Amino acid sequence: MIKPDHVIGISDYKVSKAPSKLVTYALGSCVGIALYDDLTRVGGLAHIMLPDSSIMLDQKKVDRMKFADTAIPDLIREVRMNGANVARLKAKIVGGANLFQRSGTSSVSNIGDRNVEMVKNLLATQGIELIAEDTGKNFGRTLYFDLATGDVLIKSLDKDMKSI
Amino acid sequence: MLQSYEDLNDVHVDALSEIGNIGVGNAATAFGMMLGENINLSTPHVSIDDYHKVIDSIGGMEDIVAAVIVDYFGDISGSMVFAFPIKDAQGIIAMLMGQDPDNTTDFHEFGELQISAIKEIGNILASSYLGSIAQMTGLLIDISIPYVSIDMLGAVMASPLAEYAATQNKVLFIEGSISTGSRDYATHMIMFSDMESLQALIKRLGIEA
Repeated sequence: MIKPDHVIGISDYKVSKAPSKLVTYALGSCVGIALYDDLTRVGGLAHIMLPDSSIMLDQKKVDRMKFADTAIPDLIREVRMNGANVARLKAKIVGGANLFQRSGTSSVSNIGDRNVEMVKNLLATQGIELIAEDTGKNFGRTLYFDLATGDVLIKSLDKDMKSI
Repeated sequence: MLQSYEDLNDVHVDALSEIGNIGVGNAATAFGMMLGENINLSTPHVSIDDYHKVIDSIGGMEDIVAAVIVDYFGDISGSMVFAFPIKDAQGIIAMLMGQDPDNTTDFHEFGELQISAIKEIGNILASSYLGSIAQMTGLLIDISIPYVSIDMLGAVMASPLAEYAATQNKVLFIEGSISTGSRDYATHMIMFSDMESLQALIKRLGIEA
């Protein structure tokens, strides 16, 4: 197991470079977005909770790291400021699960799917290639991101570690 | 007019605690009838806190919990979420099933019976608390079947947070414990509701800001 030196909480992100190791714990319906430039070995990791900040009536109060549509542009800007070339950035995404498998009309029942869809759309819009994902299903995932290699390791309850 | 959980003052929190006390009484009665023995539930502690802090006080993000969600709807709507640290869940299930509390069933071995027992705990606690709200306010409240997930704490909290803590970061946290004999197990409950429901509840309690 790699020992992380930065922990990214819910609605948070962090940009760093090799040999840093980042981790975000227990993604459920949230999505972890790992961006990496393999030449400069600069990368960033975000943990978003919701797809779209437009639900906030007062845009000044938006917690930008909570929403995919605000966190992703911010994350890209910051990796660039730290020396990454946006044209070389590749993305891996993890999470977007539906743990309780609730039926009914509640929009929360597919929040994981909506998060994944929004993240993919935003990455495509920004011209960032999505090279790997481990998303959906009904279990939580912890994401380790090794900036020395760009490897993403995924740990889940009672499952083997998975590398993408 | 209440705009967010941050606007709730001490009077509101006291009223919600009082509801909690009545709810706990109802729950103790329900558990007692089910088990035929005395179950004690502590006076709940109600607080309004940032969700990061609430998660921290239940456990670590990766700690395994048995979580139950019960949705409520009618005059007010939202979700009650219970997160039992897995050791406590195993203990409570043993208690409900009349097993030796020192020889609980590990969650890996849970079958339909144990899952039903967890659901029933969530069901009793949710209907007791919501029932006392209904009694005190006259609001009509109905509840869904309980949904269960056994997984990491951070992961189970994500979807209710996404639904109800989207526009602000505070939640209504109700901590208590359930005990029988010498055993004491923590109960962590978060009452999520939309702002209109919270406003309606506070208004009906006659403590409008």
